[in-house]
Amino acid sequence: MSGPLGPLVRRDGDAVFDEAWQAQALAMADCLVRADVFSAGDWAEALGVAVREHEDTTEGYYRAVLSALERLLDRGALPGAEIEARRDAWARAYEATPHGAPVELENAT
Amino acid sequence: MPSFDPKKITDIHRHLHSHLPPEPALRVKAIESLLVEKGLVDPEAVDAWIEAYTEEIGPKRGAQVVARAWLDADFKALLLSDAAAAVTELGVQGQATGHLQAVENTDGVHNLVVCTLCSCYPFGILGMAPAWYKAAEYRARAVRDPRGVLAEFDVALGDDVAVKVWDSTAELRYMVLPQRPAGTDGWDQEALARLVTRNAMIGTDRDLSKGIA
Repeated sequence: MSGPLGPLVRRDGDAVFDEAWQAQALAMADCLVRADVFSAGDWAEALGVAVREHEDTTEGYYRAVLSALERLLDRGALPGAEIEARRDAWARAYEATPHGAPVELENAT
Repeated sequence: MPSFDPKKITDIHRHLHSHLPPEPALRVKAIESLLVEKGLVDPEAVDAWIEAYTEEIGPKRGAQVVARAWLDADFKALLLSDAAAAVTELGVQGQATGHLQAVENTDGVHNLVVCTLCSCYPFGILGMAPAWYKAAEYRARAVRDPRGVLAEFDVALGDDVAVKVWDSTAELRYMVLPQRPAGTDGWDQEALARLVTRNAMIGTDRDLSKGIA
């Protein structure tokens, strides 16, 4: 190596995904493009806007992916209010489920 | 005076024992369950996608494409004129390779690929993009100061080598065809493919002779 490694190279070995949700969010976005729910161009544009609003880290990038996904879905396929309601239902289900038991939406109180 | 608030204690206890996932994970779970119910997403397709792109594909497909191009002049000509057709011929077509263009490194030209907008990348043949490819710093500097970026990756270019920067979009994604290193005469496709790095196909690596044992 000739000289100190720059900041970009230091990230060269970083894992592509740090958490399962990151892979799931990107996978859903790509599956929705393939299913023509939104176009590849719309996706790139929405993601381009979102990445500028988030921290320039792996975590920030995937938060941008999630944010872009929610915004595109909110245009019609899946309104944001439905996501909020379902998110709250899952949160209640998690809190009501005894540790070790499978979390099911029916457990939401 | 410390006070004892039974309700508060119960809440704290409940909170400590709950295993509520982090907010983004909760939102992803909510979105996925709704999309599945609406028939917009097949849960098995999502799982298959994750498995394929994290483990199976990686940059191995791209490396096979490059090695074949080094061995077969007709395939190389097809790759440079119609990369999607070439990749299909090799039987490694991913669905994300439909709009692919290959750009060739020569003694006088070095190609570097970036997506200045977000992170467009030919992941059908290169696997998932590395973390730095998605970083704002790379997206900005690859265009403004490509030689500086290349120097960070230990790619030193003489003044006689021109740098071409290609900005990927959702409609058109680029891959670099690196130069075959000297000293590999008679090598078969598998052996050659092992020399090809992911970074060489993005353009942040150039001299592949370092992989020759």
